[in-house]
Amino acid sequence: MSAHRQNSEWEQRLWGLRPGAHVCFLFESEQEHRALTAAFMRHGLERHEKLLCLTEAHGAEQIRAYLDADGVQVGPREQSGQIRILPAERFARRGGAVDLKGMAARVQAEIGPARAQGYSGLRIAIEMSRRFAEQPGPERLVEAESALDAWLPGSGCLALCQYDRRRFDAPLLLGVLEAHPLAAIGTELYDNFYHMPPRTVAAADPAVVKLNSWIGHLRERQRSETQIRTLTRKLMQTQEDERCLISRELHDRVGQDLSTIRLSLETLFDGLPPAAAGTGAKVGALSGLLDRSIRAIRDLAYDLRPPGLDEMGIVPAMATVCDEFFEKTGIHVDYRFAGIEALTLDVDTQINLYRMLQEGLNNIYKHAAATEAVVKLTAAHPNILLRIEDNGIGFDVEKRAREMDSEKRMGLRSLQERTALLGGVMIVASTPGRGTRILIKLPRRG
Amino acid sequence: MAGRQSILIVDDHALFREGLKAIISRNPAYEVVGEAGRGDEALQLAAALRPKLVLVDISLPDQTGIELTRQLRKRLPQTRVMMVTMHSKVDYIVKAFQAGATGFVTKESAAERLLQAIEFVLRGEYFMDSAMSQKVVQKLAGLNVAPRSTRDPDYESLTVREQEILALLAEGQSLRTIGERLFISPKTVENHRTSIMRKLGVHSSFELIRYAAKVGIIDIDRWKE
Repeated sequence: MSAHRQNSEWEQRLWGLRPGAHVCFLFESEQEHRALTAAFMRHGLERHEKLLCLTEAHGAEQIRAYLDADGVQVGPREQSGQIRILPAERFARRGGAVDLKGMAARVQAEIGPARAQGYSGLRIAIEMSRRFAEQPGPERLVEAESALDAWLPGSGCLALCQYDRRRFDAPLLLGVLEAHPLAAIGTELYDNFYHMPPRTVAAADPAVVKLNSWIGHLRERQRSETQIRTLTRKLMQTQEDERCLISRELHDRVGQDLSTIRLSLETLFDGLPPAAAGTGAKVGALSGLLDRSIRAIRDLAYDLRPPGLDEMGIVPAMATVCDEFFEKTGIHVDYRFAGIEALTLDVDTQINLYRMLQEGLNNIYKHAAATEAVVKLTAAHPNILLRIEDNGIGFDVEKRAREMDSEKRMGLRSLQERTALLGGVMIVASTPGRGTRILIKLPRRG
Repeated sequence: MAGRQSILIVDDHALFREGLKAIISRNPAYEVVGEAGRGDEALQLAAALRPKLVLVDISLPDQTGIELTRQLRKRLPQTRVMMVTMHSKVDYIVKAFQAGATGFVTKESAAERLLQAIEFVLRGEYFMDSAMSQKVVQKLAGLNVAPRSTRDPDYESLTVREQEILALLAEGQSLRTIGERLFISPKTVENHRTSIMRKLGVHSSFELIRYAAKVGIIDIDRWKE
């Protein structure tokens, strides 16, 4: 059974649910319902919890079939009382009428006996009946959920409340969603920031509670975004530092040592009696091998860290990138620098400009099918402008912007990130068939 | 001693210096008279020893070998300088020759080419690693196709204020708007414009905009539409 748990990330998250959890499960298909509900129940059984399963459209037989298919011996466990499956409506009905308040109370009453029987807790899986929303009505249903929500923390129970999105209307689902600290959509589990904490003071104005909660979420979101930005910056900085370190070690240490060996090998037999036949040829072969290693190390070091950026400055280094790009790809780059040589740019800006050019050209090579590119780097006080343009196939900018969220479009995204890190803006203009023009506008620093 | 050509070696790797000395000692016409691991040391030694030739590594602890070359050439015009370095980028070669070096050998070629290179350089000729020279020629050949416009003296002669105003003018903003934005009078903006146009050698607003598009201040396509 545990094999299922390791199968997928969502199931691992579901396994992480602890007593007190109150999950609003919105599903739209039988597969979704089955996957999450079956896993939820199975996890409880594995933890030796008692399982109370209240059914609706998916009847008791279907639930048994889910568990059976997952290798759970349902019959014996029902006989022992670990699993209790019954229709939600029957559980809710008292004296002919549906009594949701009573139902919540009866659910709560189950934990005592479960503990007495030696179970580690109580796990409740409820499929909500659509009739609850008609009679006694949506307000009562939300109230019952709120009652559960107030009771669950510290109760030793956890509940999965299942709502078929195809059967409930949106206003009801909105209300219900607010009563759950956790939400499962399909099989994904989310911290529900629309959750409205149960009213601790009966008199508290719901609008005030909601407003405070929303303000809290706005702040939290802002904080997360700042945090992501900080982390991204740190990540890029770390990557750059590491590259620099490795490059320097390779070039200045490994390469130097290999060169020294190569040189010493040459004169190894100077002044000594003639060596055995064939030694010269062997030394020659070794020297050839060393030459190759030295060249490989140097190329790698140059790839990792732009050579000359420190000694010669940004302009020759970027011009070299353009020249080498042409040599490598055959795409001609017409470049022009204006006013940059006269500036003193901080190292951060330099290295980022350099990387942006590399990334921009790389995008052209990989995606644009272009024959010509134009690069312009201009100091236009108080900004620095970097233009990277091509005559390639272009693309639909809006569509690409949406795709940027999927990780495939790392090129543009990474340009965007670097631009943002330097406090600049990036403008992408492209028309399918008519090339692409990227403008990166950075505030001058340093 | 007479007739032996004196050589100073500047490299911060002692073992590599040993290797160079071993190679050089193969030719009795040369004599290594000194070694230095740093640029400042090298300058002192060179002044005292007045060697015929200095072998210089580009990466030194206290300054670049290119800077050292410039200093050596200035102070000891009779002394020749040759780079012996890990670096192989064309830009380094160009910079080294511009600084006054007359030879360039990569470290891995030193075993085979050093003596030949020394001979050339001491004779007053230039020497470039044959592995490198191919790249340099390619680069030079490339120059005819695409002139390297890495500098724009006209544009660089603009003050930052003028750069700022040129950008705003190119965007089509009026003298008055620009003045309001920069807290100066329209008259001052106009003076700046006159100065900008004189420095850039343009004679009309149209030419000014065309120039701005050329150097990348505004987008030519947007301007065309």
